[in-house]
Amino acid sequence: MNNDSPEKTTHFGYRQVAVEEKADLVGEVFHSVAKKYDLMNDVMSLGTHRIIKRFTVELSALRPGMKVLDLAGGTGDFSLLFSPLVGSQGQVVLADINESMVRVGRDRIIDKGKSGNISYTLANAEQLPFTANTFDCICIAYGLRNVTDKQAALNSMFEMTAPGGRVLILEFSKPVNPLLGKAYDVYSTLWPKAGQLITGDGESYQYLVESIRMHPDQETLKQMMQEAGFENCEYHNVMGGICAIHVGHKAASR
Amino acid sequence: MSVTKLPAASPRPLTKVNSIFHSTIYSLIETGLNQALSLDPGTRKQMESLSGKCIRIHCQSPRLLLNILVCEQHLSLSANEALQADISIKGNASALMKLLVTRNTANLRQDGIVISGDVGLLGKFQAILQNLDIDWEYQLSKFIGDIPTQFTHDSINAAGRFAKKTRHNLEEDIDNYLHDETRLFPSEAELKDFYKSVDVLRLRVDRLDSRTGKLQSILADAISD
Repeated sequence: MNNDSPEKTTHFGYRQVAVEEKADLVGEVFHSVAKKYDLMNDVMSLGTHRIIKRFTVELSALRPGMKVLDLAGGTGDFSLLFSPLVGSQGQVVLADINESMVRVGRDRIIDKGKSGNISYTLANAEQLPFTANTFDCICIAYGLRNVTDKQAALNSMFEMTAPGGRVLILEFSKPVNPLLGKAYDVYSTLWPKAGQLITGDGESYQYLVESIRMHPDQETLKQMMQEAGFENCEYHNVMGGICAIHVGHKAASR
Repeated sequence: MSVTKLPAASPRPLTKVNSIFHSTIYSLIETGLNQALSLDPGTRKQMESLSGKCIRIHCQSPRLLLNILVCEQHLSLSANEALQADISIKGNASALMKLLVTRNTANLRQDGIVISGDVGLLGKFQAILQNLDIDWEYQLSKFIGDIPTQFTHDSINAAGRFAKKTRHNLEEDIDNYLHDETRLFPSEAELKDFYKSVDVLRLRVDRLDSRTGKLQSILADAISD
């Protein structure tokens, strides 16, 4: 909504910045944290992000031979989980706007010897460079929050989803229980300190905390998905709503 | 317990079946299964022939949904009902466990198991999993070396033989004690003798019975004459 404002600004954490600046600022954040990204995830989520990711992959309903886009795939956690599911006949495309993250992801996947059906690309989620109706599943995990124009990204994802396909959005969200919300708020204030200690960059994690608070809540995001054209949209609250997985479908025949 | 099903019941959402808790449990089982499969390349190769097939196990009490998807040489477990299954097996926990343990599929209907879809797939899947033959010795030797493996193998075999022999001896001793020492039960020879004399007695009684019958009929004839 704030994208429609006359000054053409958007939020970067709690700050208002020019629309064209946000991608670069987010880029800097991820350049800076790419190498220690996985370790920080473990620290911040106390290891639970692995279970959440596994649960998200379950919701993908993928089978051998399918094509899946791991958007904002970063260090390749999801690609590694998708790869055995779609098998040698299928394809996983790891796309991220940030070169450092793709590099770390690609190296990691190659080191694990799982590169057979995974390809890599630098792509902006708002203008995905693929043929329309390509992917049986598009998954964006902890990425949508950082996109400047979320609605444009959802529209682009809808276009790339094959008829009958689905989109999965895993993102931080709004805790359902206010008490849990308070506890989580207190806990998340520790992240910049942990970030400073581990990656030497506390500011990036300050942005992370702020961007989580600025991200649309469950119902708003669901509405945005419906606006993009997705049907049967639903969301699963994970850990009391700290995270939410939104699932949307593209009709099989239109 | 059994409730008559309404034919046109509206489909109930299964979102509760699909939770992060199930996902965690399935993840652990999946790792174990794939680990076992990785130890038997033969079975893994066979599994490839079923790649892309999905078996759904739908337990009604307790409510549980399990999809077993064959992805080339490994298995993927999930609780997502959106995944299209090739075969669906519905039943309660005990009946499903019975199906898992035994290969007897003759009285599935009696056990309340309903199977829909490609039934042949179930047979193939069962056959592959039951042929799982893991060469434990080879796997162990990779970690601890050949000689310790041989030693472990011999020790386990010796322990097995000792256990078998002990069990046999114990059975024999108990038998002797009960039959010969306390004489609580008759011995087999005595029992045979007893059964034999019962048989002889039965034959003699039968003969006597037919004889009296015959005499009675003669007497009846004489009186009537």
